[in-house]
Amino acid sequence: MPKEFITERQGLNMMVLFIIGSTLVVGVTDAAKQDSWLSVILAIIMALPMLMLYARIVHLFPGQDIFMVIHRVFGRIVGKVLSLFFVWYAFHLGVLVIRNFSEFLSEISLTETPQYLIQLVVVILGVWMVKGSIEVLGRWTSFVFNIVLVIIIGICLMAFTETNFANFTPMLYGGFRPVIDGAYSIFSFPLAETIIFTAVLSFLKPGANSYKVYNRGLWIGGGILLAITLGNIGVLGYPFLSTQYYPSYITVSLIDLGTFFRRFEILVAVVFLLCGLVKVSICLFCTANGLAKIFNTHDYRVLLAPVALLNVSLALFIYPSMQAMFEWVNVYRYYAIPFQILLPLLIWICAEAKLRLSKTGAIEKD
Amino acid sequence: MRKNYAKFLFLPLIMIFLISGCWNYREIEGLAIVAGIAVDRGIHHKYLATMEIIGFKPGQESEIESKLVSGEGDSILEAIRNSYNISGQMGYFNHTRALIISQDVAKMGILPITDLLFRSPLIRVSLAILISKEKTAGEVLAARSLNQPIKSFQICEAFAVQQKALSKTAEIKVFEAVNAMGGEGTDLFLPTVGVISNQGQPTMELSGMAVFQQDKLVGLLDGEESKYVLFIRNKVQEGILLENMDREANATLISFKILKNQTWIKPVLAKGKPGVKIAVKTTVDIWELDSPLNYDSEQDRKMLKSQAEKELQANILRIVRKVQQNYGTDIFGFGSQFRSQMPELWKEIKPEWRDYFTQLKVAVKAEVEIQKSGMAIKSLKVED
Repeated sequence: MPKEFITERQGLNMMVLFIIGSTLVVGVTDAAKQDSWLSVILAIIMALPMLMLYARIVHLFPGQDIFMVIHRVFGRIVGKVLSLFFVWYAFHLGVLVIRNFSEFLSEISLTETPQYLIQLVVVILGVWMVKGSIEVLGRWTSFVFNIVLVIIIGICLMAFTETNFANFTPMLYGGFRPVIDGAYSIFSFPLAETIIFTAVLSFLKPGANSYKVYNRGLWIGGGILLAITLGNIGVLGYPFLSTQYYPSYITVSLIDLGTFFRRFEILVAVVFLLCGLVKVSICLFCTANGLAKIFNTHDYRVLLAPVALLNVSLALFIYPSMQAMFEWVNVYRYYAIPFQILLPLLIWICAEAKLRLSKTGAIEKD
Repeated sequence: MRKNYAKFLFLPLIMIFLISGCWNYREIEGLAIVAGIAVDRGIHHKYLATMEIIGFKPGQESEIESKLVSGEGDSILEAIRNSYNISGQMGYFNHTRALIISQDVAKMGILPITDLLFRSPLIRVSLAILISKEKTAGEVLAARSLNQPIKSFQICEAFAVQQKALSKTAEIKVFEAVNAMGGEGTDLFLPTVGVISNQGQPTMELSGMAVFQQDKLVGLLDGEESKYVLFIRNKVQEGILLENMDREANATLISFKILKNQTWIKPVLAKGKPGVKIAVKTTVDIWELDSPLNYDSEQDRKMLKSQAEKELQANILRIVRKVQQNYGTDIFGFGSQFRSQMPELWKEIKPEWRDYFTQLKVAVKAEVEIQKSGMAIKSLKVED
């Protein structure tokens, strides 16, 4: 099988779309109410060292994805168990995104369509794309990225005309605690979810810089989140904002340019579909890839379809209702700690130690 | 070859889903596009919902007409659904622009209605909520509209005119209403709509506002009073300011056209008691003078200016007093100003804000800048 490559730019585009993916419609947590935008900034700063750590893991073993790294560092048996953890996380994340996707669509327009159909369409597309290779995904993402960027910038500029600046006052009314609380939520969803990229960025072209991808991806993705959050608060304001599941959708539905240009909210749905597809595809890829490594199969492609179908079946009954889906967000922040913080830390420390101890310098050897 | 067979077998599977039909199939003939809803007290049930439906007159040039259909129910949704029995069409609410609530219903509380509005994915939160000045809300939808065949759309056009020319009421959208009801330190006011006689025919007319305590209607303000509420809320864009000039016992009425207005509200703490300072800066033109007096000397202009300021201050104060004494609800959003500008103090006074509000010392300082007097150098004079 020929080696697949993605360019630095494609990696960056993927990461940005991955970050804004489901957060665009669900919106960032509103723990800090009108200070949520401060939470976003804080979350970006909090995520920076963590993401640099992920980049370091990718950088230490160029051309080897996280599963290979785990195998090399921890040996076969322990490596397989740890890999399984990661596979579960990627799989579960994919499930959550798929469910988000279908809930949103069935709420806004396809009210009578059964959700499994929406989910099936999404994963079939995802499987098709990833089956083409990660390169296809990279190229498609680069193409879509421009469209998404234009739409989002347009939306933010238009939202600016409807902004009521009084909505941002008073600053820090509830003190600093909710801001930090919210920042951590945003850190775990979606910023630190980029741990998945440790399995993707190994496909970067030789010589490409994984730090750059993570760094820029974080700032651009986080910047877009910030802009969206500012727009939502400015246009809708509290307490209305906390009553809405899909705030961005409502915000954009309020934009009127003259009497003719209105009803832009479908653009939000379009952007979400595109970003959601990227996120689902990357999760699929990561799951299938990890499973292939665990079972010593060389081609992850054969595993894509079964994984995707499992994704859909789990997505169908993972939440009993939409309320449960949004409640899960509060649990997720703790649930994600091992996958986003503990495991990467462990891997990083052991990898560094292993490299130092072996003295031969694995970097040069590879 | 075997692979190809598999693909061929897969195709019909996909077709089952994609070609056999649609789950969300909607024909435009089967939809009743609802332009506006009026909610009244029902006779047999709690609510009576009257919906204005956009109908299409068949013919060579298809014309739009407004049709009314109503149903009763114990909840608003039930009332709406019961009306489908009559029309035989499902309502489609994506284009609904106005919701008119009768005073009886508003006195019971508008929370159930607002809840339905912001919960539904189809109804847009930019929908305008109004209170009917008439006995029922359905009356308003039954009245004639002048320019638009669809009355609810006419209401929205009237809002645009209000903003440009009158400022006697302002549009409140669903999300703004939710923010005013649920926000700290603000109470809700909604625009009112009534029916007046125009050329002998009942026609809808927009002016004035309804004052709420929490979600219950407590009183109505007329258009003139509403204007000064809007002054305080910094929502006056353009409008008319009438000033009675008692100049040497020669009563004169001057109409100023408001060009722009800016209001600042500053909460203060005077002798341990919270108070509010309102500063109004208005730029006006003289547009109508009903006496031969001229305001061309500098002294005269100064006097005119100070008179206008005094009158504006008095009017604003009057409405503040009235709301404080009669209704005791903070439709001016003074509390929210405390909250954003003096958050520490607000945390203390928040539980008893309603009491504080009725006792609140309010000082108004108005500055009126008279810019132009139109094309006229002098007022008209009548000579023998």
